[in-house]
Amino acid sequence: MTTQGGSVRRTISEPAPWLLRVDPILCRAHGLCAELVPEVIDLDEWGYAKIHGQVAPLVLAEARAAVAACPTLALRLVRGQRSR
Amino acid sequence: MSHALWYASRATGLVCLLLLSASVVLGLLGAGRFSTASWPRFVLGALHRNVSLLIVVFLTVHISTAVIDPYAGIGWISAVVPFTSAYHPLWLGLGAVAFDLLLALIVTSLLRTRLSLRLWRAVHWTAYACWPAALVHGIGIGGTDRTQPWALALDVLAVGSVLVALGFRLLASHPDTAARGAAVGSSWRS
Amino acid sequence: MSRRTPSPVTAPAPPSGSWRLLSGWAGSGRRETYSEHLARFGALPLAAYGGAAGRQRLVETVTASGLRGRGGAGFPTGHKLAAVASSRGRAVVVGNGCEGEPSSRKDRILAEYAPHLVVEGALVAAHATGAGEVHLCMHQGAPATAVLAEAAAAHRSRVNVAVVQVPGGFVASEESALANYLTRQDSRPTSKPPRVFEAGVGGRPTLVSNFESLANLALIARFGPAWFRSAGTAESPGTALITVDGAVRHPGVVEVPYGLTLAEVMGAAGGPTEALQALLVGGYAGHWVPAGAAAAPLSHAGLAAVGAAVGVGSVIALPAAACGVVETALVLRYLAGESAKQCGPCMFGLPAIAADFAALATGAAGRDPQVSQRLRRRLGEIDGRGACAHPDGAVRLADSAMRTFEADLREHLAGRPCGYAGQLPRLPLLQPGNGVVVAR
Repeated sequence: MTTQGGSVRRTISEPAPWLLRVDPILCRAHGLCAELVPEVIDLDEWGYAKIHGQVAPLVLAEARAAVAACPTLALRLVRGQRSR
Repeated sequence: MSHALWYASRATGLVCLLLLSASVVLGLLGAGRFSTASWPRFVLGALHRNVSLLIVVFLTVHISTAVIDPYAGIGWISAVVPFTSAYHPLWLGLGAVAFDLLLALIVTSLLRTRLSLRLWRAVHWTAYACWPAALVHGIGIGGTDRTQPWALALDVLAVGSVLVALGFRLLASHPDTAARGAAVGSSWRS
Repeated sequence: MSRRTPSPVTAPAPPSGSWRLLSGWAGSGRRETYSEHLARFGALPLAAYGGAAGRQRLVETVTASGLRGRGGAGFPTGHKLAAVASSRGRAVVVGNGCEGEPSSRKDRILAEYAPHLVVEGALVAAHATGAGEVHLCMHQGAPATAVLAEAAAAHRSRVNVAVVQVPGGFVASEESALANYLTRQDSRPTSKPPRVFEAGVGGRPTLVSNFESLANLALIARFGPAWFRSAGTAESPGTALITVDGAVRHPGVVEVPYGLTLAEVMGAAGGPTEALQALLVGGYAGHWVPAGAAAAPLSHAGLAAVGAAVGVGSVIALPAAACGVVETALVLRYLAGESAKQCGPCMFGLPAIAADFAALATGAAGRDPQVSQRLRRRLGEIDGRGACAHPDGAVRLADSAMRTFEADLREHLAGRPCGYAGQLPRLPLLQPGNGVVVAR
């Protein structure tokens, strides 16, 4: 939103998104993550975690649960780049 | 009054043993990657966690009633430091060992995401010492309960379920484990 | 008897023409001694870059030269130096001369014929990053190891230069694998983050640079960025050591300026011996391009325009009388065997796509109509999902093969394979993990 006439100009930027990252060496294809947050994590044909997309705010709690539930702690929740 | 405390301690002790056995069974099932359509991995995992936490509740009652009850003369310290009580030092001591290990298991598991995986795993392996210690503590200190059929039945149930789960765990296999195991022996190290 | 006025001391002139790294060999026909090397190139002027300001200036000089890494990624070396120099901790310099890529021979040639340039380049990198130790890595059993060790001993420096033998294996020369081996004798790649420039050997900031990149540093420090840029193109300055192999008259390593066409580069190796159908550019983890793309310039931008990349700097000519599908199937099987078996998508995905390609090569795929689709899906699934770029390389190769040999693939799928499956392959192959077997 920008205002004319030389006063305050504000652009609303998206907050930095949350992202799930999987460490491919630690992932042992247990698959709990895909059960808990299928909106973000899929399993490939051999059972390993595949991240598709960002973590929407609505599923942030499930994403945290997935990070805690992974038997090998292969998942991390990180903040991505802020977009404008 | 004293009898009430004593019965409470016995009862909650047995419940603790059953809950601990259930926890071990669930842990073994998880390690063996067990799941069905109605019991997916994350449900069994959450059950393992919640059953383990529930033990703490019953264990608190079990220990408190035993200490408060003046009959055996057990001090608080003996619940934590093994083999320091005058009352059945060996059997009670094993209970203290099981309690200490359980505390370590629970605390490290609650802080799991903040600890190194290796530390958590090393502590979690002591579950294989915690459960037998609790079992032998119960049988040893049980006294007359050793001959009661219902007590024996519960013990058999506990031991039997853990052995079955252990068998499942040892026989379970997965391509990932097989592939990594095959790679370990090869030429990556000089 | 005349009195001779002392002539002013002049530094030797920089190499002109396309021979730079190999100008010593080109001039003498053999490896030059240390004194011959100094006579040819002059002394390494590290004293001119003394102090923190001098080190900063050295990094800027390298950045200004536009030198891009010669190990495969083509990352600007100046930026790498700056990143390591600005990370916390005492830096470590690792020279990567392992050359696990079977199609490439340039690094061992460089170690054999210009070892002093490699050592000096490592010293330049050490000076620029403030490192106290240098590890020059080659695979166990590499003949040039002794030559390099001898050369390293000739240089006087406060920096400790060690020649290290690394276990064989395609991925053992990946930068994090090298750092891992130097730290805990385990030559397998590790997860990122952290990247090695932040935490590598012993958790310290580590510069991992290819031997050829280091050798170029030794010349840039002497002769400056302007000289360096006098050959090559604007975005790919300098010369490159290219291994030319396959159906060419004189297979071997040539030094050419970036910007020459692929055809001209093959010409430097005597030109094709027969009609070609395709070229494998950038190594086994590189790209196939059709023979018609030989007019493309060999540079980062030039090859990107035809869907390829410089990679490790090798060009293999595939004659028309061979089968690209079969060759690719064999390379994919080799790459699958070289997986470190740490990441699921690589240890299961690579054998799967190798099997799919083998089915395509032998014509067995004709009975299974899903193979193409399944292969395409798998390529998308595997890409980028390993801890290192090994699976990405196999995906690149398979993907470019499917495009370059499209007509051939259609014949194979229709159950009419070209019949070359039984012959000896044209691409050099290695037994996975140990030894060298060249099949021709």
